[in-house]
Amino acid sequence: MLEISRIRKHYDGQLLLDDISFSVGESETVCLLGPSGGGKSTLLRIIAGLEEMESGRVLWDGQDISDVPAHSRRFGLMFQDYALFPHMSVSQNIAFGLRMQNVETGEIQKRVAEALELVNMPRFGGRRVTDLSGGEQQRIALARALVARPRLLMLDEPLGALDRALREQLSADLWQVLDRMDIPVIYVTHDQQEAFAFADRMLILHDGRILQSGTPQEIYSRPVTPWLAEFMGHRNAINGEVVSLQPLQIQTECGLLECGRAFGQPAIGKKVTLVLPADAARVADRSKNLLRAQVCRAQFQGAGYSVEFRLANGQEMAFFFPEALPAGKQVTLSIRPQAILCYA
Amino acid sequence: MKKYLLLGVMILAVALCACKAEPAALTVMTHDSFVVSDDVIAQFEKENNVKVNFLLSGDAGSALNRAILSKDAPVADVLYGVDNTFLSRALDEGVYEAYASPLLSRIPDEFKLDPQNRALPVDYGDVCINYEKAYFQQHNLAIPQSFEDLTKPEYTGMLVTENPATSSTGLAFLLATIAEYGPDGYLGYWQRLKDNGLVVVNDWNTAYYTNFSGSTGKGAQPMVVSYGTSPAVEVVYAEKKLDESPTASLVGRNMCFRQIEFVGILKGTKQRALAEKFVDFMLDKAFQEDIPMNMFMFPANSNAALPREFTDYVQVPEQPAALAPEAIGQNRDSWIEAWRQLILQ
Amino acid sequence: MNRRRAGRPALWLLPLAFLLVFYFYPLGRVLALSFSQWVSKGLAGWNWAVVRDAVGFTLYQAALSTLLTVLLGLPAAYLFARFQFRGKEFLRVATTLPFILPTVVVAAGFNALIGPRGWLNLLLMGAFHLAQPPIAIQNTLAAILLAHVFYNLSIVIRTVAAAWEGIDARLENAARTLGASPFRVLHEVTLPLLRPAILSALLLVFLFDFTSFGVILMMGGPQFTTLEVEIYIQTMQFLNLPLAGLLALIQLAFCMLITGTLIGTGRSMDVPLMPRVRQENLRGARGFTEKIFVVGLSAFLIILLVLPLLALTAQAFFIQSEAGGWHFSLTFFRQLFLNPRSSIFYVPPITALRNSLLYALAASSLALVLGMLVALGASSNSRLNRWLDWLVMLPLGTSAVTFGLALFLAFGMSVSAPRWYPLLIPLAHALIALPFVLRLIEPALRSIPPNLKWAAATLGASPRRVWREVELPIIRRAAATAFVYAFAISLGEFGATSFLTRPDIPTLPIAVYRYLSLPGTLNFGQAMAMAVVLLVVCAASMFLVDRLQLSFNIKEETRKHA
Repeated sequence: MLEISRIRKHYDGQLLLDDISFSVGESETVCLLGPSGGGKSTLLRIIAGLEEMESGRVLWDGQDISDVPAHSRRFGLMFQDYALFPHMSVSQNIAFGLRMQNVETGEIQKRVAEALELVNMPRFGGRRVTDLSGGEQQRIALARALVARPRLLMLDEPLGALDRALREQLSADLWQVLDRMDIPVIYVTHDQQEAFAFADRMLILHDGRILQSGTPQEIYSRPVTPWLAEFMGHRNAINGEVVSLQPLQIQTECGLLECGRAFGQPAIGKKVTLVLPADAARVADRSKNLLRAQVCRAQFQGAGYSVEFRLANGQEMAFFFPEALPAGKQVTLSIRPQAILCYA
Repeated sequence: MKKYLLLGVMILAVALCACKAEPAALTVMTHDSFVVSDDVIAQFEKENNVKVNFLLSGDAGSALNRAILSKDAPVADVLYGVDNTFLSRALDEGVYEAYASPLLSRIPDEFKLDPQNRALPVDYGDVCINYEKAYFQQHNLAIPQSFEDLTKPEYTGMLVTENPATSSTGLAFLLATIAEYGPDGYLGYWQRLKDNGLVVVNDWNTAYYTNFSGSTGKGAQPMVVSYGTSPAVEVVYAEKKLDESPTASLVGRNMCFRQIEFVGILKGTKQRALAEKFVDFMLDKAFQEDIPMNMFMFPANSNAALPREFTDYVQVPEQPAALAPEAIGQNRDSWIEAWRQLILQ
Repeated sequence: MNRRRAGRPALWLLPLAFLLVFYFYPLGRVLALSFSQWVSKGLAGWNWAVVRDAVGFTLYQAALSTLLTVLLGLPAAYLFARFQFRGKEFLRVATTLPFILPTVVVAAGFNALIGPRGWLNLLLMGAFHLAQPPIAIQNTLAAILLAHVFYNLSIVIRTVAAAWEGIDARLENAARTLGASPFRVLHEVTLPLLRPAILSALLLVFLFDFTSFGVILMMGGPQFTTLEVEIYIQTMQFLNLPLAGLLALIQLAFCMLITGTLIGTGRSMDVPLMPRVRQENLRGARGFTEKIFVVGLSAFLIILLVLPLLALTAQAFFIQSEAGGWHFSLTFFRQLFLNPRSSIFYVPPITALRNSLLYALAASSLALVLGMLVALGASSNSRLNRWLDWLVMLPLGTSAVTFGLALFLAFGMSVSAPRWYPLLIPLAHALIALPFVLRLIEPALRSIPPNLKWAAATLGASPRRVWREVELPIIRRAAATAFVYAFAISLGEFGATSFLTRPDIPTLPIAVYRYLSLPGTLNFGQAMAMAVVLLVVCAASMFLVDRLQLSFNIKEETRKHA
C-alpha cells in the first residue's frame, strides 16, 4: 500500500531524516517510535504532502505520489494539538472533509452523526470546539480525520496531550475505533507502552534513521543497540570484557556472565556492554551466571514487585519478582543467559 | 478574493466612464484658484467648436514647475496664472511662445511686464494688510498709515503674516517691504516688526482663520496679510447679508504689493491658432468681467466693468508696491533665505 | 520544491508589479531628474545646516510623537481589548475619526477649543479670572505633538487592541496564579505577546509622524522645519530639484533604515497563538479601581479625541450673531447642495462626497486585495516576506510632494493625461493604505498555527479552499479593520490627491480646502459642514463594518444553540 523510499530532509542545517525507507501494508498499524524532536512529525508531514523532502519518494500502490498535493492524497492526519478549527462548531469541524469532497448535505449530516456516535459524543455537534476538554477535542479530531474515509490514517501523538488516566481510557477507545476502520495506520509516539499497545509493527526512528523494525515483542526482547535497549525500558546495564567466545563469556566487575548471542562482533579482550532485562533474574536457581547483590527495596507494582539491588561494585539494578524480598538481605541472583543482551 | 478584485475593477471602470474622451481639445494649465463661470467657457467652446480642458496643478508655483518640467513635450497649450513674482522664472525657462494679441491695446501699459509679449497680463490684485474694523473702533486705535506705524508700541502683537517660503501672500508682503526699504533696508524693518511682536505662520489659511480676530476663528491678531479684495469677499460670502464689510485694507504707500497674473501660449503647442483664440478670449470683455466675482481679482482690460461689490468694498491703493520681475527673479531666493535666517532664528 | 522556497510568485508578483509601476518607476523618474540637474547645474542653494537641522528635527519630533502616542495608546488598547462597557462602539469609532480629517479642519477644531478665544480658554479665563488665555500652544512643539497624538492614537488602539483581544485571558490569569503581580504579568506575559502588534503600530505611527506635513505647517508654524516641509519649499518655491531630490532621498533612506530595523526585530518575536474568535476575553469592569480606570480613560479619550470633533461640528451648526450670541442654523448644510455661482469646477459640493466614496471604495478594495496577496504569497518564505513587507512600507515614508511630482513625471506628461489622470488617485491611495493593510493582516495570518492549515489540507482542502474556509474567516476581524483604515486613509488623503485631482471631480478634503482658501463666514461654515459630512460618512462606514463583524459572531452563537 504505502511505500516510503529513501527520504532525506535537513532542518536548520542538521540532517533530520536520513534515507528513510519503509512500507505499510493493508490494514496494518505501524508505530513510529522515537524520542521527541527526532523528526517523526516531519516524516508524517512529508508523507501527507505538507512538507517538501529533499530526495526520496512516496508511493501508494506502487505509484509515485510525491508530486500529488496534500489535499489530493486522501491521507488523514490527526495532530498532536488536534488543530480543530476554532471558528467552526464541532459538527462543522467534522463536516469539513466531507464538504471538501463535495458530499451532498444530507449525506454529510448523516455521516457527521455517525462519526459523533463512533467517538461516543453524539450530542456535541452544536458545541464550540473551544469549549471542549482535551479528551473531547481529541475524539472530535479523530472523528474529523476518520469521517472523510482516508486511504491511510496518520496519528501524531494522539494521546500525548492528555493526562494519564484519560490516556488509558482513550487508548482503549482509540484501539477499538482503529480496529474497526480496517485501514493502514501510522501511529507516531514517543511512548513505548503506547506503541506496544497499538502496533502490528514498530519502527524505531533514531538519529534520522530507522534503527530497527519488527513486532513489539521482537524489538522489546532484542533491541539492536544499548540506547534502544534503554529506550525500551531496560535499565540494567553493566560493562565487561569478553573472555571466551564459545560459549560467550563476559567478565564483569561483579562476576562472570554467560550470554546467548551478541550484537556486533565480540572478540577476546573486547569491551562490551551487557543489558540485563528486568525479567531475566531469579534468586540463585543455577550454578552459573551469578551476581551477588544486596536488596535495597521492593516496590509493589500490582502483578509483582520491582526489586532494587545494589551490586558488589556499587551499581544499582532492578529486577522483577513475583514476591517481595526483604530490604538489606544479601542474595545471589542468577541471570538467564539467553535473556542477556550483549553489545560488542 | 475574486469578488474584491471584481469590485475594484468595476469601480475603476465606472470611474473611467465618468471621464470620457472628447475629440478636439485645448488644454489650459493653471493653478487651483482658477474659477470661471460655466456659460462663459461654454460660449467659447461653442464658437470655436472645441472642448477646453483645465489642468489644475496645485498653486501658481506648482503649475509653473510642471510647465517647466514638461516643456520639451508640453502637456498643455496655454498656461495661465504665473504672476509677476514667478514671471522671470517662466521667461528664463522659455516656456512661452510670443503672441501679440490685438486686445493688448485695451490693457494699460503698467501691467505689460514682458515687452516681447510672451506673457500677457490678464488680471491683477493687491496683497494688503486687512484689519478688523470693530477691534480698532472698540480700542480707539488709529488705523496704521505706513509700514513704520506698524512698529509702534500701540500695535504690538497685532499683525500676523505668512512665511514667504511657503505662502504667496507672505512673499508678496515681503516684496512690498523690499520695495519700500530697498534690498539693504528691509531686514532692518523686519527686525523691528519682529521686536514688536510680529506673528508669522506658514499659510494664509492659518493666518486668516486661526490668527486673525476678524474671521470666524476669532484669533488674537486684528491685522492679517491678505488680499485687497478680502473685505469684499467677506461681504459676498457672508452668512447673512451685510451692508458693510467687517474688515478693511491698509492701503498706504507701498503697503500693498500688486500681483499681476499672466497668460501665455506654451512653447511647442500643436494648436497655436486655437491657443491664440483662447488668449484673446481671456483678454476680452466677457471673460474679463467674469474674473472679479470668481477669482476676486481685478480685470486687466480697462473696458471691463467692475461689479458693485468691488466698487463698494475694495480699497484700491494709490501707490502699490512694485518691483521689476527681473529683480524679483534674480533675488527672490536669497531674499527669502535672508528673511528666514532673521525671522525664524 | 522551488515553489515553496519562492513563496507563491503567482500571488505576490502582482502587488510587486503594482508597486514597481506606480511607485518605484515614478520615484526613479523624479530622482533621475534631480540628479541629472545636480550634474548639470550643481547644487545651488546648498546648505548643509538646513539639511542637518531638518533631519534632526524630523527625527526628534517623530520619535517624541510616536513615543507619546504609544504610551497613551497602550492603556486605551487594554480598555478596548478587555472591557465591555456602555458606549464602547461609539468610542471605538470616535477614536478612529480624527484619522480622516484634513489638517486644515483639525486646526480649526483645535482653534475653536483651545485657541486664544477658544471655548476651553474662555471657560478657564472666566472660572479663574485670568487676563490671558491659559492654554497657548499655537506654533509650539506641544501643538505638533498634540495633533500627532490626536491623529494617530487610533492606530495604536486598533492594532494593539486587536492583538490583545486575541490573547487568551487565561494566560494572564495563569501568570497571576503563579504569583506574578499585575505589573509583572504585563511585563512578562502580555507585553511580550503583544510586541509584534506594538511594533507594527509603532512603525506606522512613526512613518506618519516622520512624513507629517500639514500638522507641521499649520500647527507648528514656520520655526519648525521637517524634511517634508523643506522638500515642499525647495520644490515649490525654489524649484531646486537637486536639493529637493537629495532631501527626498535622505527622507527615504531614514524611512528604509527604521522600517527595516523594526521589521527585522518584529519578525523574530512572533508567537503563533490559537486564535480566539469569540469575544470571550471581554468583561465588565469589576471593583473600584477598574471602574475608575474605565471611566477615567474613556473620559480622557473623549476630551482628547472627541471634543475637537465636537468643536468643529458646532461651528458647522451654530453661527455667531453680531450681538455675540450663538444661534443654530442649517444654512451651511443647505448650501452644500447648491452651486450658486454656476462656476465651472464648483460642482455642488455634495458631489465631492460621491467622488470621495467611489475613490475610497476602489482604493480600499485594491489595498485589501493587494495586501492579502502579499501576505499570502510570501507567507511561506520569511526572507521574501520581510523584503516585500519592507518595500510596501516605503510609499508611506515618501514625501507627498515628491510622490506627486513623480507621478506627474511618469504619467502626467501626455496630452491625454488630464482626462485619466484622476484614476491615479485610488491607486495612490491604495499605495498609502497598503502598509496598513499588510501590517494588520499579516500578523493575524502568521499567528494562525500552521497545523490548522495542514489539517485542512489533509482533509482535502486545496490551498484556495484553505484560504477561504480557514484563514480568511480567522483573519476576518483584522481584514475588516484593515479595510476601515484603508477607507479612512483614502477619504482623508490630501497630499497626493491635491497633485492628481481634476477640478470638476474634487474629493471632500479638496473641497474643504477650496472653501477655506477664501475669506467669509459662509465659506468657513461650509468647510466645517463638509468636514461634518466627512465625519458622518466615515463613522457610518465604520459602524457598518463593525456591525458586519458582529453579525458574523452572532451567527456563530445561533449555530451553537441550533
